[in-house]
Amino acid sequence: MSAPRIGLRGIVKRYGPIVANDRVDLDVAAGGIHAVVGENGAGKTTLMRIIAGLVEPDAGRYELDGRPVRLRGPADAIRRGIGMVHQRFQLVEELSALENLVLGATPGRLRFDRRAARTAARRLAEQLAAELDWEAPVAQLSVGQRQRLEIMRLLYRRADILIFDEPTSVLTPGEAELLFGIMRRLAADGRTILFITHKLPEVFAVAQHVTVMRRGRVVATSAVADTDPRQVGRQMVGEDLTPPDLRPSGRVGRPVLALREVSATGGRGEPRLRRVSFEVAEGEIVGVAGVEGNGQRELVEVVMGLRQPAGGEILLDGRPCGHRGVRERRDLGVAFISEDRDGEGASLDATIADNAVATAYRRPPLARAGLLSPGRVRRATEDLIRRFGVQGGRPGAPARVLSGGNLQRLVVGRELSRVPRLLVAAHPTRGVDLRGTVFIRQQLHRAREAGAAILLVSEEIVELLELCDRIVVLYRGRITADLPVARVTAERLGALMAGLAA
Amino acid sequence: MPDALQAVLAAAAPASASILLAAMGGAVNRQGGIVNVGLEAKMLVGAFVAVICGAATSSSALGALAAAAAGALVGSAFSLVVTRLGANEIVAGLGLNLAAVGLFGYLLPVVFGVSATLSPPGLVGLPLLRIPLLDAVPFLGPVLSGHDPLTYVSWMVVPLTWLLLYRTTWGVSLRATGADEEAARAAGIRTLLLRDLSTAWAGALAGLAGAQLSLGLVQLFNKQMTGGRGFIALAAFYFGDARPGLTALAALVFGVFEAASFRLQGGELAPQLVQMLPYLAVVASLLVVGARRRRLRRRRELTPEPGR
Ligand SMILES: Nc1ncnc2c1ncn2[C@@H]1O[C@H](COP(=O)(O)OP(=O)(O)O)[C@@H](O)[C@H]1O
Ligand SMILES: [Mg+2]
Repeated sequence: MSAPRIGLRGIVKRYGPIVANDRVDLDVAAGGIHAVVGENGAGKTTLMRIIAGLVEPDAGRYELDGRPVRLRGPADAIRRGIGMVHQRFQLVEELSALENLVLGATPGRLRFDRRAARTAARRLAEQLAAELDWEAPVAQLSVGQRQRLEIMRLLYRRADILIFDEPTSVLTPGEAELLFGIMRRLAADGRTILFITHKLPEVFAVAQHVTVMRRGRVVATSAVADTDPRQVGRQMVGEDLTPPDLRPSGRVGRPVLALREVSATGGRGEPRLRRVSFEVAEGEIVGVAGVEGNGQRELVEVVMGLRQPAGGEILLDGRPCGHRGVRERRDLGVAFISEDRDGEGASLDATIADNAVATAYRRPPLARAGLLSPGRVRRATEDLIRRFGVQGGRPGAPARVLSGGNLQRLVVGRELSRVPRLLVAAHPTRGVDLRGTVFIRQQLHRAREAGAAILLVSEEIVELLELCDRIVVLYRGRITADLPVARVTAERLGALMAGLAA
Repeated sequence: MPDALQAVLAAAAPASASILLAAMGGAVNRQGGIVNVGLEAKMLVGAFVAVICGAATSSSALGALAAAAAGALVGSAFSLVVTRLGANEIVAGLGLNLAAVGLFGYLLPVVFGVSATLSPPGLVGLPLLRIPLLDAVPFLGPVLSGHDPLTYVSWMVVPLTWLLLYRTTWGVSLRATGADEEAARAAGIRTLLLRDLSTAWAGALAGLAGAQLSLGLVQLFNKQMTGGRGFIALAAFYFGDARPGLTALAALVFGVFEAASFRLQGGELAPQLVQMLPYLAVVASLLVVGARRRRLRRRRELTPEPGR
């Protein structure tokens, strides 16, 4: 057998006391898709950054085609054909897609030859079967389009090893399928793909090999054909993760939230919600199923008071509240897990403690007579960190240091530290690892059993079926079905979400 | 009336040249991510160096070149303080302006023995150039022709700036740097170097602007001769969103108001009121920009971002 395209031997990377990569060995064959899976903090990103020349290992050997190399930065890596699509895209939003494509790629040349760039762009778009508006600023592109632009940027620089760091965590299921098609095509062209994820079905859908990491180490590397999701799941977590029982006890009380013929419009006046009516009662989780862009965001915003409804009535505990602002609604006992975790959900620049008390700081016991008690804030934060298993930062550190999964634990903890009357949860487990996902679902379940009314917006059919008492389907701004969960199967729900008749 | 209009427009061309030059440099600088509040100081230094070197060499051309070089030098120093030492660009820019005022307040009496105005012997101003065919166009002839060379340079700098920003890889990289430094650096761009170069360029143009004041409009140096034009330039590229066309338009409009205020000074309005005209135009235009941007922002908030 010839030498692997990438060979790592005993790679070590430490961050202070943390060993992010602990004597990692990895062989990646040329021309295929190799998945790397592991929980948050397992060291996947660090390892990929080493491969892409962004981080220098403290020890170990790095070989390309059997020859040892030492990369001097990402520019050196891209010269050797190695490029990475980061979790946070590295695009300049204000520049056009075309300008982003060529940015920094021709340092020696002064003239920016738009025509040549456009020709290259068109060829790349054809190759990926991914058309986009090259003159539009990147800010106007969808997340999926941005990701495809990142891929084309790497191909423009002639990369033949492409590293994807959790590319599907920002995509809708439909867009993820599109990405998998692109990945397969690139691999068929002989390119080598490294694919990080923590969703096991994705591994088994596209990859030929899978490497499992846990706590900085490689636990196993296998051919996908020789293993199964259960085994890989066990290797990831280090134990059998028995799914907890989340079935509702069925003690449903009085309605808490009621929507009566609520409509909403988008920025250009186009309808986004059309006469939506349903109720959520005490001790009940009502799931909102639908493919992204069918009005979920608007629904959440009108319920939270972030958007004025264009018509209809919103009742909280029987009282109209369509005119009330976010704070008033929160004072009535509404809690909110936003899908926009680091925009609406948390402030990355503020400390973990400030984020932890952001919805409670005006009330006793944290504040008395308008004065904040720092000691109580710290204790409340430490308590929350312990109860909700937030790892990776002390109360005084900025929230930015937390990984996505841990930041979400912080947000969930803040919103559920008291049992709310109503919880609005939008995609609460998106981009969260296996253990975190199980934990968050458990918390939602617990809040329901304690009497909270929960509105759960999700695209994950499994999540909806596992947690909900009732599911409403949102399609093109309309409620097209409102069913008790016992009468729904995964197939039927999928069909309803796609707009096919029930 | 057409005569008066013609006279105002003809006076507006040289009156706006210094603002135009400084604003175009400031726009490039802004696109690279630095708000250059120190344009005023660089203009003043340029005006001074132009007079000293122009007199020493008996050449207005060499005086203007020296002014550009001096502006670039001061610009580079300012830039290094901001990009390498991490100083706040606004504070550093304001400090530079104060330092320039102090410097000339000291130099003129102590070294040159004059209180405010320096007019060394042998100083020759910039020539006025008649452009042969343009000259003969009815009405527009005197508006477009018969100005100092730096006024023509100021016009040529506008398309040059556009080319620089949008048709060179340097310009794309610079705009990327200004919009998102981290992403630009990740694309392999040397962002600090680009910022320094853009500030040096802005300094050179501000220096030329100063030379146009002290060798073109008049033939002397006065320690107050920039009269806030550096700040008007700032307003111009702010109004124009640092885009060359709009910025130039704003600079020219401010120049027209300045020329109009010269004309009106003999009339019955109080001269202090008339002199306020260009500055009032600046304030009014900034109010317009503020209102427009707020409206845009509100609209953007209502349309959901794609994905996320
Ligand atoms: N730049 C850094 N500074 C300090 N610690 C880091 C840094 N990058 C990663 N770590 C730590 O290294 C460990 C592995 O992180 P990472 O490679 O991001 O894991 P994964 O991508 O599998 O979630 C984590 O404990 C993380 O906190
Ligand atoms: Mg990661």
